[in-house]
Amino acid sequence: MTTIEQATIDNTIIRASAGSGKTTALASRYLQLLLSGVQCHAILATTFTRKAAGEILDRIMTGLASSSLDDGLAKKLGQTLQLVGFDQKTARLMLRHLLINLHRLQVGTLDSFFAKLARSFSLEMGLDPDWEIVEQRLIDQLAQASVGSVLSHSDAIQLLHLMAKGDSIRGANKLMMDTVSQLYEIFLDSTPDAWFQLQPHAVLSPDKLVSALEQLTTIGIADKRMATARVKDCERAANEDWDGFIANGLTAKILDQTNEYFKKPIPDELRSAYLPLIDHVRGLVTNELKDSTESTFNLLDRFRERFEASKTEAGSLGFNDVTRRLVELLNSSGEQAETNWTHRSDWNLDHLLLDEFQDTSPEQWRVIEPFARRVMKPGAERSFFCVGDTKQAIYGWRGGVAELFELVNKRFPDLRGRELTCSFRSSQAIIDTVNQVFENAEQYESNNPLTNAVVRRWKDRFTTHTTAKAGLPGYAMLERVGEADDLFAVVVERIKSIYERSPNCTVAVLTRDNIEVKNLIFALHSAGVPASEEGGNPLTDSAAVQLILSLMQLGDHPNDSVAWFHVANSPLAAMIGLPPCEIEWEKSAAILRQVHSVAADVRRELSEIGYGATVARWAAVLAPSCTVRELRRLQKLIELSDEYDAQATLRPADFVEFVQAKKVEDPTGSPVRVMTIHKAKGLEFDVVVLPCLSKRFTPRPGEVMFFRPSPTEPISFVTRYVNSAHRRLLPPKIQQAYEQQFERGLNEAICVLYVAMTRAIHALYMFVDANESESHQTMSGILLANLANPRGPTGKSPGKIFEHGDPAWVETFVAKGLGKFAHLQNTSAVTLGDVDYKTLKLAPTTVGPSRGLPMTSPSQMSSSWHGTIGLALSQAADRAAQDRGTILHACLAQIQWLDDASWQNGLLNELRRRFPDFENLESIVDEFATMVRQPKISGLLHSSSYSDQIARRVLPSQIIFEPLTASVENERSFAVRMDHWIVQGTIDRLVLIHEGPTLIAAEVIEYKSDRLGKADESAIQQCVADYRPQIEAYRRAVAQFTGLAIDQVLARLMLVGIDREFEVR
Amino acid sequence: MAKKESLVDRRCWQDWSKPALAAAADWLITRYRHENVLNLSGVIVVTPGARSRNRLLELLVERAEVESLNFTPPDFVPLSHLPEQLYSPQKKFAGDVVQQVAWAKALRDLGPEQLSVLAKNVPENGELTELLPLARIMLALHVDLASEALMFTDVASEFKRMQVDRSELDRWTLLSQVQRKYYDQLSAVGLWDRQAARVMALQKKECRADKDLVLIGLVDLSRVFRLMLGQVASLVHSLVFAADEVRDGFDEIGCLRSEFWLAQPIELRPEQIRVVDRPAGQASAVIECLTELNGKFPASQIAIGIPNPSVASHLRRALDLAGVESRDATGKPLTQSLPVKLVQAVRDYLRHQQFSQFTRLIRHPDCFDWISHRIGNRMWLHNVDEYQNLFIPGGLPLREGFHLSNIDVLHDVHRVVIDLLKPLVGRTRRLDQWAELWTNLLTEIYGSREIDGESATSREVLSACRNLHAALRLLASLPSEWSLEGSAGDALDFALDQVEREAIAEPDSTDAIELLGWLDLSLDDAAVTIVTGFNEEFVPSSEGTHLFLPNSARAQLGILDNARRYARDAYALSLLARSPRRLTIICGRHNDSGDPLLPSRLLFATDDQTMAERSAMFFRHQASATLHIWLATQTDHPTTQQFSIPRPKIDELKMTSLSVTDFKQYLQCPYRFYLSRVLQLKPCVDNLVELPPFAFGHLLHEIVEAFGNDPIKDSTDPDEIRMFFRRQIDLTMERHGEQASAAVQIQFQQVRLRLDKFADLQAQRRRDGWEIIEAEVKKGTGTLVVDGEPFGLRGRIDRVDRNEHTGQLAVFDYKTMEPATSPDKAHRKNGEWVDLQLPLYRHLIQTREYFVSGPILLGYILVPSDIKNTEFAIAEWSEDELHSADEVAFDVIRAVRCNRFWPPADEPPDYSEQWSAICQDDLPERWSPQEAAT
Ligand code: SF4
Repeated sequence: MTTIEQATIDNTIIRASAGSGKTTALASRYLQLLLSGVQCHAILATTFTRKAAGEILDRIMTGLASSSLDDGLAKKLGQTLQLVGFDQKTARLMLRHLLINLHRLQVGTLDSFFAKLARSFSLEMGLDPDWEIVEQRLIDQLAQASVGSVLSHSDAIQLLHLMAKGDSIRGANKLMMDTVSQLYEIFLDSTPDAWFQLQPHAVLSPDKLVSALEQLTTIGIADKRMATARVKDCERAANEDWDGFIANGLTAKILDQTNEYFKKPIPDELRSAYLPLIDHVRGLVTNELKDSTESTFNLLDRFRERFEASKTEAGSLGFNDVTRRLVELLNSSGEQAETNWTHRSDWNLDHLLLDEFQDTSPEQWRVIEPFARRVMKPGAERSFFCVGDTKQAIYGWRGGVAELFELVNKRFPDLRGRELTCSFRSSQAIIDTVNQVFENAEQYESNNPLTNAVVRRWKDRFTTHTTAKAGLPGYAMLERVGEADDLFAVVVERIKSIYERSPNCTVAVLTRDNIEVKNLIFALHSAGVPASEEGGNPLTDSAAVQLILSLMQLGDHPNDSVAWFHVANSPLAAMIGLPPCEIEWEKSAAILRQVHSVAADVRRELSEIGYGATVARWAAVLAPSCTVRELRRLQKLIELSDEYDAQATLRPADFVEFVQAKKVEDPTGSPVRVMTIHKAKGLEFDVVVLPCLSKRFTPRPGEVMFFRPSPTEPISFVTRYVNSAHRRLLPPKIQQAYEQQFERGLNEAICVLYVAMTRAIHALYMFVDANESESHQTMSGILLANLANPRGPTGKSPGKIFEHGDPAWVETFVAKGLGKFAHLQNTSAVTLGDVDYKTLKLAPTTVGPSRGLPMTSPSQMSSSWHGTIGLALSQAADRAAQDRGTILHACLAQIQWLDDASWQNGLLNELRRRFPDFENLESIVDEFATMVRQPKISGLLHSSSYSDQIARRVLPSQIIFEPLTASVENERSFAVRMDHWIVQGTIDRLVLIHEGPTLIAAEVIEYKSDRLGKADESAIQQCVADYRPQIEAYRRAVAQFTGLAIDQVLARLMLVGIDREFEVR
Repeated sequence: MAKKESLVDRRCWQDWSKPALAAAADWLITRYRHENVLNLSGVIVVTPGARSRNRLLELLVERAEVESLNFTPPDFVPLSHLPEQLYSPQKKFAGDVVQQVAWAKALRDLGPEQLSVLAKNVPENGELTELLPLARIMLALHVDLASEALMFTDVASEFKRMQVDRSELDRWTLLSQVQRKYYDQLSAVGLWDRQAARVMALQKKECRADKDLVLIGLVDLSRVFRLMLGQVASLVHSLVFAADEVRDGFDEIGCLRSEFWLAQPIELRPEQIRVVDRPAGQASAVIECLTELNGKFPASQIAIGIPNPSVASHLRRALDLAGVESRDATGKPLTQSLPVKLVQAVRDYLRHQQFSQFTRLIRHPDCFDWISHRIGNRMWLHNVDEYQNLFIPGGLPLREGFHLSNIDVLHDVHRVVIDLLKPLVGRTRRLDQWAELWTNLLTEIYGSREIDGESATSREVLSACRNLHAALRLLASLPSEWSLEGSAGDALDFALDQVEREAIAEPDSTDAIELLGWLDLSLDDAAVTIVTGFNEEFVPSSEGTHLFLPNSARAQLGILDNARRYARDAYALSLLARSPRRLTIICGRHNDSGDPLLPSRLLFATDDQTMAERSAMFFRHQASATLHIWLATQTDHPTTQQFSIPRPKIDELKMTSLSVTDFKQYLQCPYRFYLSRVLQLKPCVDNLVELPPFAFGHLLHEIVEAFGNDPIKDSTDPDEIRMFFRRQIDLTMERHGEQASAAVQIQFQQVRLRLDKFADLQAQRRRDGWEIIEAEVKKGTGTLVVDGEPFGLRGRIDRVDRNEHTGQLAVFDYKTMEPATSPDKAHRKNGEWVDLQLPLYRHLIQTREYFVSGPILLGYILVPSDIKNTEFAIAEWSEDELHSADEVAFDVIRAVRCNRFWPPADEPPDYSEQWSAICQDDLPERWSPQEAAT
């Protein structure tokens, strides 16, 4: 490979406009690094979604693969990406390098990088190394528990009360949970001081208040209207209607500093008399705000303590937790952590490639920064590269701070900046329209100067876009909907027309929020346009899934008659035997009992065979009635259930909650897709439709207002929200905080508009409401101001206000066979699968040699498979009996024939060797010695007496030609096939009887050391009966491996404890 | 540190183009057969796993049968037990539980300061149990290293030599100390560490054997094993399955040389590799492969490998639907069995005594049956819901005589549960003493069950009970000197840790296709092998970052590293590919959540051209438009929603009266009205953490009702009234009891705040001459005559006032809603009546004895959260307006009389979530009554 060329690995920051090839830039940088000899595990390339990470890797790998297959392609790619010396040969080397090191590739999400980082520091971070990133649902459960414990503090009620500014809130838990979900991230991102910035402000004592009011009433006023106003003001003050007081009359004029009332100046004396009262209100407002803010802090702080500890304890973290805890670790150990990381990961991180940089949060940056700093140290053969677009910063609510872009540029002056403004996506018409909207920003004039300023700033930062796809057919338009028309109806009609003219083009309908998505989908379906929703919803958008969830709910709550009714009216009812739910159902105890019993069955089935298997069984009943979409969702539910089994609880209702909380994508080929603009980020479509442009920019009154001195610094000032009337009374930094938040929100809203428009490849259809005007603080307002054709329809008449490009673009599109789905015949009729299940037939089991016969043993064929579980457990618990049995067997196994007394020698030592743990060996050996002196056993084990017996038993009436000999095999193991089993086992004592050289019989002797009463005949008989199948199996086995006939194999059960023997035949 | 020792060559080469285990059987027979006797009792055979052992035995049995041999099977020894065949341990081994505790004790001995070098947040002089997680890590590290004959000090010195960072070195120095302390702990109680014993036997050259040792395909042995075998080399025969050209890939004992396999190409034909998108697609691809077999192979000749377990469930469901039986060789995790779930639920409830944990425990099917049997009733679950809804308890203590209000059944349930759990409650004891008590619990619930060998459930329960029991008994092995104490839950945790990875085998069946893990595949001799999930991370697996031993260090120390993992899998794949079989390999592009997967590196162990082609095939692969819906077993499916909204079934007149609040519901949606008022359907929940709005309102109502019925109602002293309210609140709180959740207690305070304020207004109102003449008219009834027929009207009136001066009546409803809404706003939208409650009160009050005709004031008493807005809000409706309200009411009555409850309103009304499933509110493809009709 070539040597490192400095030019290719400059530290670079790229601003890439929409569609200008961000991924390409990143992939090409990656290839450049490889080409200059950098090892892939020295490169970290991150982005924000796993999908995007996959695309980057695909781009790199397909580029290399194609180049490896075709030198021409390689050269071409080398040229486009400016890779000096790139050809088929180098491509192959690079490709092999990557493929050999697939496990060491570091192309992924920032979150997964952080998770790896954190994992190698688990112990230092005080985490059990088994910690996991868990679903939000589980984190929420921990939050709920922590809230519970915060509320049990004795002063929680006071704090809540103060926080709610004196409201007697109805639900303390709900209030606290809401507070946590809205403010906790802000809380963590702020310094504690930030919440204690307000100084208390004195209020008038009741006496002084009375005298101040008196003072005010006594002043003489010439102007009549002013006098009347004063009377009303005084009334409000006397009633303590302070909000009314500051919003009306003379107070309002004094506060907004006009100091005039109906063009008449307010006399100074009068004004001064108002001031103490105004100051009193200021005190009231300030103190209330201060209490509320500080109580919020205190509650959140208590919450934090419990919540963070409980996450640590459970080893359950969210991605944000990982980032935050890494920041803590880096703060406390600094460079040391980096060194340790390099060691523990085997990973020298020399080259950083960061995608979507505008979405990086300050905390994430705090983790990356030390690495960035290291690679940018001058002279090192390392490099930094980031790419992003501040115009597409729409993840502020997730912590993304686009200003980081500027900041990094400033902090690292050596960074080489580049800007990409040529689109490789959109047609000329689209790009022209985008340019027109954002370059003409000064034409927009709302009544809010703050808004105007933010919009204008866009113009200043906007570089004219160009496109490489000028040859594509393209079209853009803005239409005003008539006053009498329903906006969605018009939109649906337009989409229908596009869809019908070209079913192959992808249409995205982009909205601001989810509720609009739902309504549009419904409207499109009703109009016969197959539309699907992008981005994932809970599976509860399927009727079949809902039925199954209702059945789960019924299983959990047999008295849930809603669930009962729902299921009872479905195909499931018959399968599970659920009675119908009819009027006056509550009066029939028999029916109710039936429902309760169905519920119990449901719970049992779920616990016994699992959620996956149960849901699959139910789904099979519903499947035939399902539409294709329902089927997809139902199958997803089965998949989820299988996944759930590992974490299943005993409550079906928990599963219902799990499903409701889980968003599941429904990837389909549906050409018309509806989604929020946020979900469309990173995607492109032939046609983009924007029907929801009328949402006001003005941010919702957040629950708090806060101020951040610079993008990477923590929040330095927080208060609860106060309205503008109150803000006028309060210190200016509150207004400042408000404005900072307002600007941030507004800027993001305009980013959203930019993202929305730039998703389009060919055509862009935008719609505005009848009553929108060009000065509105909405997207419509900006579009109207900047796109409205001076010669077009004026005023508020419906029709196309703006049109650019070729209205007949669809026809060109169709004629040229363009579009993503052009290769498919008809996307609305997607096939269900390639396989016809009915044709799948395997050969019968009898075909071919047997394989995989199950294993068993004679003992499994008998005792343990009878009796109760209690018996089995108590036997298992009787360790002494087991040990005794084992040792007695071991002793017996030492004996060939008792005639030869040598078995006694060394028996104890042998046992000691084999049972080192056992303490009472001597006593058992003694017991054994006594045992073998009993007549029956003794007769069995003495060769002389045994020979006598056996001759009589084997050959009762035959003449013996040759002497019989008996040879013994103790603990004889065997394995044979019986029917469809492989049976293996060990025979305690096998005696083989030969007549001369010929084997003529064998005897199986089975010892049992069960403790039985000598006189308890029925227990003895039961015991013999229990063991009979086992011994029968031994006989069959012996017959098989010796080749004897079955009746030549004798068997005896020897109850050694009571010296009884039983012949088994 | 032990150096690599060279061994005598013990390899017996077997041609890998023949089925491996058949070749092994052949070899054994050839070598050990004497005439018609095949006596292998003097041979120890070691295979990589139980599966290959079983198959080898099966093959031997088959051959013995065919050739009429008198066959004695060999002594199959599991690999992990092999060392103990080669030496005699002198002392008793410490079991896993003992080892864990010994490590924990060793760690505690370090002292908090030293310990903090290893881990943050270690409890200072904490319980041993809190150190267990760290102890388990130490133990794993110890086993990992010791099996390679390495001590922690060896690592420390190696790191020193490698000049790793000071802080990492310090950690290892500390770890070495801990390891010494660990050994001390064990020897103090006369126990031995198994790994240490092996190393000791090695060092003392104690290894002996009196049998032949036959190793079958053991290509990856740890150093200790290799060295021990080296000491008995003359008896060792290592059967290696390979071809001539790869002989250099093995060392003298038949273990893989990583370097060789890293560079070794693996031959696969293009048609053997399939790339598909998601796990569901992998399942479909398997079905496709099976279809292509054209019915030539029985299930027993087919094996499916599942390296990535997330494919398994898809596959099984798909096979089920295709009517193909399958058997998961890994079995079902023991932790998913009912007995384990039972003890877990008991433990959780014992630990925290939360009400929610109680509700889980009682829903355990076996616990539920047991309780039902004990109390002689199976219909009691709803009582638990009721109790929860009424009292919103936080905890539910395990004490007898506990206050459970008047819900008798619940009393019984709680009592029997206490009975069951009593032995396990409270106290710390020596851990082993809990074992029997837990077993007793299992016996109580399961003991009387008959074992049924034919039933999968019965086998599962038996197996789980036995395993749990055995695991609990391990606690007895803890040295008594350590007197380790804890709660019943702590004891159970030890046992559960032991059974965590255990599985319950699925029933055997020769009619089922076996689903195998990757490791079992290579020696398997199925004629058809399909390997799914052939992706990096699964085949081969690799370790990324490590807390203590990164890959480079592992490589340096010569222990299991990524190269060895690769070599192992490369050899396994070569074996699969070279032995005679139909092999298909399926690679996924994405997982279930759509995240990208990487292809296995093994696929690229080939020449440049093939490598490029394969990577193009993988990375260019696009999801096809085919939706892999294995659930679709038929080819045509309906195109419109078939699940319908059930039509009202009602023939005769059911409703002869309505309550005043019913009208609003009917006006919102006649169908939902039908569901809630005619059918009287009610949803159930039991997860309230605080009083929901209606219950909060109810609470407040109760108190003002008491006020309205007490002589104090005529008081004009706000303080007196306040005192009354507060007393009432205290009484109600007492009724809720100590277990009320914190949030509920706060809600009581909220009620108090509101009523404090209301007391002022009430006193004033009395001073203004308004007296309460009736409060909470429970069963107000009236009649409306509509179209000449009377129709009943029902309703409760919160409060009726009469002015003592004018005699005028005023009817009020208390409202706590958020935000406070005036009566008119609540009753009319855009000039239309949407609620008729207040106007209809006029008709109810007519039957009261104090009624005198004349206009009646109607209004709300608003007691909202923003107490500034507390007020008596009077509706100012004219007589005409009220008449128009009556007309609307008449229309509703007419509709109800002819049972008109259909169709449902298009838009779901606010707060109608409970009907959303029935009414299909959330469906894009909603069922439409019109379409259904056509
Ligand atoms: S034992 Fe192994 S090495 Fe020796 S002859 Fe037989 S096959 Fe060859």
